[in-house]
Amino acid sequence: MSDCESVNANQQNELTALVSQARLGDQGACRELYQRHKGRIFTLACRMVGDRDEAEDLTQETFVQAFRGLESYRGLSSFSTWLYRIAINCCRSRLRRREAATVPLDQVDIGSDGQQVQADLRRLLEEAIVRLPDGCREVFILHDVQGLGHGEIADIVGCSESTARSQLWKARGKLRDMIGPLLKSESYEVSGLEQETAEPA
Amino acid sequence: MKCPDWNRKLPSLLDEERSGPGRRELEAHLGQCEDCRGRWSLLTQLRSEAGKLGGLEPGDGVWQGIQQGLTDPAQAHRTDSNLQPTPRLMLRWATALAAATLAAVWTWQFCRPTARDNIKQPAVATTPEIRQAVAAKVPATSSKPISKARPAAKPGRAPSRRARTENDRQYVIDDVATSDAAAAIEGQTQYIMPALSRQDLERNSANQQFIMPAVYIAGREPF
Repeated sequence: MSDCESVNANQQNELTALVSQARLGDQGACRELYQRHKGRIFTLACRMVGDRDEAEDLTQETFVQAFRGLESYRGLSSFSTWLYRIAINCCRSRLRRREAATVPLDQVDIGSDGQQVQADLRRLLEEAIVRLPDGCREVFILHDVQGLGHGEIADIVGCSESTARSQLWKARGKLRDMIGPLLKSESYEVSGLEQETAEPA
Repeated sequence: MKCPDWNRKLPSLLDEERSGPGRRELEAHLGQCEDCRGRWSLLTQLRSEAGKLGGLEPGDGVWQGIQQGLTDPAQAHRTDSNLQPTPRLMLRWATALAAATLAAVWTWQFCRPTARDNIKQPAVATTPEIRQAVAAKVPATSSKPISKARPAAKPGRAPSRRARTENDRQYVIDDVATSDAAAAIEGQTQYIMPALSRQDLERNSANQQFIMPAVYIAGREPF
């Protein structure tokens, strides 16, 4: 067994032990589980609803439901996948209760220096993600923002891998179509394949 | 491939390895199309920026809220709903359940033990007299020549309930007149019942061992 596999196995064992302790009502274990997963769940919620306060509310709701329902976690999928599924369901419930954002994005003048361009683009992207259709948005956030694989995404969202892929492509195309026309700057120059960056985190 | 086709395909090519055939073809196209080069560049930048959108942290108050939520029974009712499987998963389960039910029904229908299975086979085979009596009283239902009668059903197979031809008549006669009679009666009650009399049965008491249970199963009054 390689070092990497050994570390992963240890982490998995540790997580399983934490879940078992949390199931018995151990507050320390619950807190540890929360600390380990809060960032990913909060990011997901934040990108789904586009509002920090609401995302905190959803994060709280997700963990409360998870800790209350630990009995129903049978270990068929990883704990994080199970948690993501709860978070997605929480977000869906919340989004169902409110109308979709229909206000178009503002046109922006992209700054001239590299950092400003990136900041503007990121802001536009954040706003555009919230305007994606729900199915696309979930998959885009889980894949391109959170860096999950298509198999795990399919498990979380409850669809096939091929559906997850096509939703992702659809989301990317929509984002490009939404953001592309808004970039009004002569200094914003696209440069081709060499601009490609590494895989998302 | 033309630009609109590339435009549709670009989002999927982001996931392809650089050495992949699609990417090599794309690079060749981008070398000569400025529009597509711009679209591609935007896509790659968006993907790169999307990767940097992670890593947000909730405020400190969230953990306190969770602790309160765990002790607050008012939130309990909301717990179950989001722990439920997604609708698509539920659909899969429902489909699997329906398939299992169908399989069970099919198995029960075709593999269930028939009345014949429960009837003890007679120790003594029927006599020629009984066979004659049966043959004389089973009405002819078809003008087909007997010579074309099909072979008797395989051992262990129950006769068809829809038997109406001369072939089936022969089968019934043969079956009743042999140790397989019980199963024949199960399928051909309307023919057998008037065919047999108490005298017929009394000729060989061994026949009662299989005819009487069969009559009982067929739901008719005994003789």
